[in-house]
Amino acid sequence: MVMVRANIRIVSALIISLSSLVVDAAELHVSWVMKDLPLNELTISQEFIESLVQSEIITSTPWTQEIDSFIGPTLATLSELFLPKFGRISGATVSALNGYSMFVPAEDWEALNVIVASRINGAQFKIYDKGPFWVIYPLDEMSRPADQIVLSRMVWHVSHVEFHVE
Amino acid sequence: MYLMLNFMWSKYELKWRIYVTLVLSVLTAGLFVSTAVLFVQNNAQRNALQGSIRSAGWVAYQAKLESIKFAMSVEKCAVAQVLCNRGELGLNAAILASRIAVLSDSEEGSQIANIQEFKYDLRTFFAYFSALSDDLLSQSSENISVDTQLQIMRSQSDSVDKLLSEILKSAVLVNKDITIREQLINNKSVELAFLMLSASSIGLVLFMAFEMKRRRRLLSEVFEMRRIAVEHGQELMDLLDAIPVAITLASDNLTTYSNVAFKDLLSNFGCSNEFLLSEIGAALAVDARSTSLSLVVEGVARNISFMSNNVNWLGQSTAIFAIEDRTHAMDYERQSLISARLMLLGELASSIAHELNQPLAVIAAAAENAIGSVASGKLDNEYIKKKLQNIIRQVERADKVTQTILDMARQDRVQTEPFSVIKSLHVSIGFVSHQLRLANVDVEVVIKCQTDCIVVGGPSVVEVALLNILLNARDAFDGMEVQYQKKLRVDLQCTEEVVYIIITDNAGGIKKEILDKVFLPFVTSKESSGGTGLGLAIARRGIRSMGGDINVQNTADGAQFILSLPLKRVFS
Repeated sequence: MVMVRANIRIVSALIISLSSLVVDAAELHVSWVMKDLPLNELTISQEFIESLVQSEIITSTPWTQEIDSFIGPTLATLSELFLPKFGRISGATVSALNGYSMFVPAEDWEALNVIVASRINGAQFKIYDKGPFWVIYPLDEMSRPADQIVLSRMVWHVSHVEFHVE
Repeated sequence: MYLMLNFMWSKYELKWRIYVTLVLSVLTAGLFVSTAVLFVQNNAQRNALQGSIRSAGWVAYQAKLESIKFAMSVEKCAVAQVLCNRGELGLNAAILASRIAVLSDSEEGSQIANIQEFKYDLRTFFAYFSALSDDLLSQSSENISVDTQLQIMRSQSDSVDKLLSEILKSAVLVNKDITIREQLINNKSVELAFLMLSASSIGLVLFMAFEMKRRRRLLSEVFEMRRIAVEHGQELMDLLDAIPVAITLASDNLTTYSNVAFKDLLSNFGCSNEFLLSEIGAALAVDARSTSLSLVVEGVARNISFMSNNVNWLGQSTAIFAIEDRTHAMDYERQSLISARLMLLGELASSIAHELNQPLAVIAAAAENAIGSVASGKLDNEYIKKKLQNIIRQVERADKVTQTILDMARQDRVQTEPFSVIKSLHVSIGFVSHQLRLANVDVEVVIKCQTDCIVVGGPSVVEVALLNILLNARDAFDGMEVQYQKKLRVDLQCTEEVVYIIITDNAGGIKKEILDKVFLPFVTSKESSGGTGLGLAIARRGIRSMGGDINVQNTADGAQFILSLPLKRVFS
């Protein structure tokens, strides 16, 4: 059942992706690799992303002035768009428009429901507002203050998420 | 003493040990806690500072990097239209705007020194570049060919680059300052930790030195106390050895100590201490109140008196025995008793003679009457028979007198038979009545008892005591030329448990000097008449052996002896 639903989502994503010939900043490239061997890849639009199950995180960040509401699918939801026959997903390398990238371990999103936010306080992100997508951790709910490692994983301007299968 | 000191020391040492352990534990815990706290604080400070340095420097550097990227995109457009990418330029402008926003309006940016001075310019640039990005990204198909537009972008790029350079310089300076402060804190932390560790170590060393010194002093005090205890123990031994009473200590049937007198006693007896103590133990097992013992050692009769008690000796329950060899003393007492009794009999000689003379006179008269009847030829059998029966009665009377005298003279025979005090009183008065009569002493006997006043013991003991008191009274009257009638009154009174024999005379009483000593041996007021001073002593000892007593007091005109005996009481 899960596989059927995942395949429907993939087909929908492809249809939406093909409808836009030009890849603009509001698209997200998602791929799955196993030891550099590509298993699958998708380019999904903002609309498709917002059609997935959405989660909300209300938190402050070191780069914002107030407590804001961030909405988007969890990294777990994104990872389930393709279910590899073997192995398990150990984490994802998240890359930004400016070339910055960071590895986010699966344990993080399993424990903290880390999301890829597409909206802040109900509005879509502009690039100059750290959009179009932003990896958000529930900083205010974490038992210990976030260290530099966690903060470095909160990638802005997200353009590509590469899931690693082991 | 030694045990007490030992006990006190162990108690003190226990308390001291607890105290030392507590202090050392607290010091050690303090040491660890202070070290751990310092480490944690130092680490937290280091991390915080590293974070600050990284964040503040990083956001400034990122912004500077994005401004360079934008400038490069602008230059590419200026060089050739074919190289110009409107989308790329818009993206660079947008990213640069996002970086400028972080500098002007975020927590990370606020950590940069003097950022407030740059905030206005930063917000202006943010407005420009965000609007430019919107413009460029929304018109992707149009070329940028207007030099004026490029000139404005180049000018804005230069301006923002200069501003970001200043901010980066400020952030770097702050970072440098923070680095210096971190080093200072690190150094101070190390110094503080070192100081605390040194202080703790010095404290520990001082405490241990103090403790060692204290312990040495306490140890020397303990040794001194032990020496004193040993000395006291030796002094106690010397004291016990100096006592002329044989003393021995036994614990669990083993002799732990014997003084010199005890060793001498064993040597004289020729027996072992185990034998002697077992004999005493056997006597005590029969009667726990025993204080004397007769035994035969090596064929020789020995008599000892002893006392025993339980004491705590060197931490053990120990029986202490004090033993006196009474063999010779008993011989002396026996001889004295015999002498006193013989003297008493001597004193009673005239009375005895009188008592015997009366039946003899009657016998003589009866015999003469019988002979006269035979000589006259009148063989009146009934008459002769009557005379002979009279003779037999008188012989029996004389026999009774001699039997009483023999009883009184008997030695060491302990009698425990019930007898009547009234009868003994009559016997005693009977013996002295003749002498009292000769002395012109009026004797009055008043008996107020309803029963025969039966007591248990030796009748001769009571009779000897009464005779001594009565003869003393007669002697007190001796040589007195008095105008009044010499009187001797004997009262016999009974209670439910005690019979009292009260002998009162009017011979002037006993001298005050010797009144409280008359029952002591060799105390007499009749030195001139040859009194031994043993009569009353023997009398009291005998009466006390029956559970009774004799006391004396002076009345208005004489002396009063009160002899008391328990009624119907069995003596062992």
